[in-house]
Amino acid sequence: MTAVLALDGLTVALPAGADRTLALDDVSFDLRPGEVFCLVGESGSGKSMAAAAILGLLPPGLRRTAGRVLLDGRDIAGLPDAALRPVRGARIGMIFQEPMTALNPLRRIGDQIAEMFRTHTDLAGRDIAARVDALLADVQLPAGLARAWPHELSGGQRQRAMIAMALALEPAVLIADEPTTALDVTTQARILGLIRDLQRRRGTAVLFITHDFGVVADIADRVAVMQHGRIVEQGRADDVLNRPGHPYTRALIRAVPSLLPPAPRPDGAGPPILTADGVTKVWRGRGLRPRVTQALRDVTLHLRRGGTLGIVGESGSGKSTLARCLVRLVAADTGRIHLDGQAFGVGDPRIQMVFQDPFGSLNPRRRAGDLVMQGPRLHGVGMAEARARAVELFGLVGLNPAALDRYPHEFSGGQRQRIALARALALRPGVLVADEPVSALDVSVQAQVLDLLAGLRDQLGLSLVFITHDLRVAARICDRIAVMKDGQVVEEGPAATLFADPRHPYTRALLDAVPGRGWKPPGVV
Amino acid sequence: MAFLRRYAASPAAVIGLVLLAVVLAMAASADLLFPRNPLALAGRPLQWPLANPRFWLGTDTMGRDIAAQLFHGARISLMIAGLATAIALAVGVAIGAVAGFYGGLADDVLMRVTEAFQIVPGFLLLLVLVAVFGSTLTTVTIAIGIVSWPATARLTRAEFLSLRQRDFVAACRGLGMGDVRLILAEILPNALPPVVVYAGVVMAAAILSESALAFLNLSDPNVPSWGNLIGAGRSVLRTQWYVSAIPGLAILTTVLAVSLVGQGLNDALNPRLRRR
Repeated sequence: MTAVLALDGLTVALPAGADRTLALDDVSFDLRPGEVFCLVGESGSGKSMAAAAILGLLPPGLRRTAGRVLLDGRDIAGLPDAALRPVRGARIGMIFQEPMTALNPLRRIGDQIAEMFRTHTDLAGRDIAARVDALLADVQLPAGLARAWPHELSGGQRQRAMIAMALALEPAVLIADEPTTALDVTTQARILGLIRDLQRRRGTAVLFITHDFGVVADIADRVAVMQHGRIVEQGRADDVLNRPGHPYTRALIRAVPSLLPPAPRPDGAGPPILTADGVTKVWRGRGLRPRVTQALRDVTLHLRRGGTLGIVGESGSGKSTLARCLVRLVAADTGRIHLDGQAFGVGDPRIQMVFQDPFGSLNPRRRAGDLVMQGPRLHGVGMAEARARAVELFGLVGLNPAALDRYPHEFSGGQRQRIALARALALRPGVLVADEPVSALDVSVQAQVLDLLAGLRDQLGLSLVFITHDLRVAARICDRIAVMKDGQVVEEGPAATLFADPRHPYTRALLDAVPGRGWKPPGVV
Repeated sequence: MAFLRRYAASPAAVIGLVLLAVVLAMAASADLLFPRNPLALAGRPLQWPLANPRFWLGTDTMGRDIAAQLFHGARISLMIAGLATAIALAVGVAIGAVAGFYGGLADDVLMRVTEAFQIVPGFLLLLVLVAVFGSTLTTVTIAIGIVSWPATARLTRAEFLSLRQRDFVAACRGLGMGDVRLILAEILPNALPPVVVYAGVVMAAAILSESALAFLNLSDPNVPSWGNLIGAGRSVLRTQWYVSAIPGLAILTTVLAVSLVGQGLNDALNPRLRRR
């Protein structure tokens, strides 16, 4: 079968002074009609750049230096914008990662889909309305949503609307750039199913860009793995996933956490170190008719000494509110939270927190060493001793103590999360509450930070509350898991039991939605 | 160093800095070049510039040396502008920081007070204050500071509102840090860059306010400010226009310099904005 879209030795140069000279280095692949081709890589690997280069949408400062982009055998690379406009949207559709920012908040959904027809066809208004209704039905949205505004839609619905727009003109090629990364796992599963279904029915060729090997396992026919702007390996999905040839692919696949929890560790004896009893929290807006959100409903949890309690849930389930209640950053409305059997207040050195976003949780104007020394200094530790402690902690979390005097922006995401970890540990807490500590990180860095956390837990005798949306991550580190939905704990139990024999229907739905659940990463060595 | 390089990358910012340096040099050298009282009678009134080698910028309606008044006036104008800006920043940042950090009732009360100041046109309020408290150098400076703080307060509040939500603030709270330290040591340094940039606008406006007061004969008549000189030239504006035009040019230059430096600071502090 001939390729509908082919990249032939595409090379894009980065501006001088960047961390490498080429954004894309001799990238070649074919996209055949009716197949899903996955481009996989970590952040900065150039996978999104490849999509942008195909549509001639390279950011300013970047230049194509060599190579061709063949659409139906015609080279479209380097064409002026005017010549590319009939191609964009009509021949090549595109879906973006963030459906909120890709939709215009001031125009109705149906109007935005109709825009595709108005731009590219001479159809009459009535015909366009009929087409829009048909498209909404195709992406399984109720017809009434054509009159809705983007903010009235959920994330999944917005992404469906984006798919409807991208497929409106029946393009031969659909480029999907991380279309499910911002979505909850159950929504992601449904959107993936939709893309797969539409693509089969219409014979569209899909270029699917993702960082998640689970998603690849679910959707791809063929795969290309990118690293530093180069394709290091490409082939049939089955071959690449189960018999990876390139060392980089092998390392990436090895970093994907397995869904099988490790053998249970012996439970700590004695009373639990941290308890939450009947914790309730309601967020109230201001004004005459305030919006009331029930964030936590009667949550009761116990953390055993030396244990790791995972709290798993989708966005809006209240897990982050719970984390903040546990360290008393947020005052619970009712209920008791006790540490070692006693009530405590915010800033207690015995319980510390690690945040999700390593970019937002470090003050950009303080040196890494100061950030780590801050806690001990606040609690009356002398300058020299605080510095000695920071040096020791830097070693412990795998950072070079020479980096104490550098600013946060000089570190990578994984290194910053290590600084945040060192800061939390500087007060020698007994309990660490980690709120999605690895979800902003690439999969290989994620594996390193998880291993570090597990190692520190065992070495320092920490008890850990680990909050995550990712069941694979939870399986890797947690002894017990609590599943949250709408502010309630719907199921709690040992990780192994919960994964093998989920009791609550929602837990089962979550487990079924994990991307690539049918694929067992091969035990590559 | 990187900051200096980014600043120097903009020609307009460098020109602004040079102009500001010239005005500062004028202020610094006033006593050296014109040791006599600049408000004393120096010669025949209304001599045109360059007509008499002793008065190369001419003399005003009362026979005072315009060049001497210009140099000494640089001191007064810069001092009024600098102090008024300092007052406006101190009051504005303090009120904005408390309102933005605590929110709720404190925010409501402080912002209503701020709005009370904002609904009165600034210059009108300035006239009222000067009319009530008299027009000495001190009262004029304080009055200009008082009418200039509300915008700074709003800007600081907006910065605090977004910064207090950031995780690093929660992290510091989790370490046991108190509110005063959080505000002063953690949030304020991050909130300052836009405020510092805005200070340029406040300063330029302060110079203009003082000149406008002086033009209406409402500023301190006992100091050689640029505004006073313009006011003095008002009666001969059609025939001996240079009496008002020369200090006017000085005001224009200074305001331009301060604005360019402010803009340059803005670009250097927010390098991402500039690349558009």
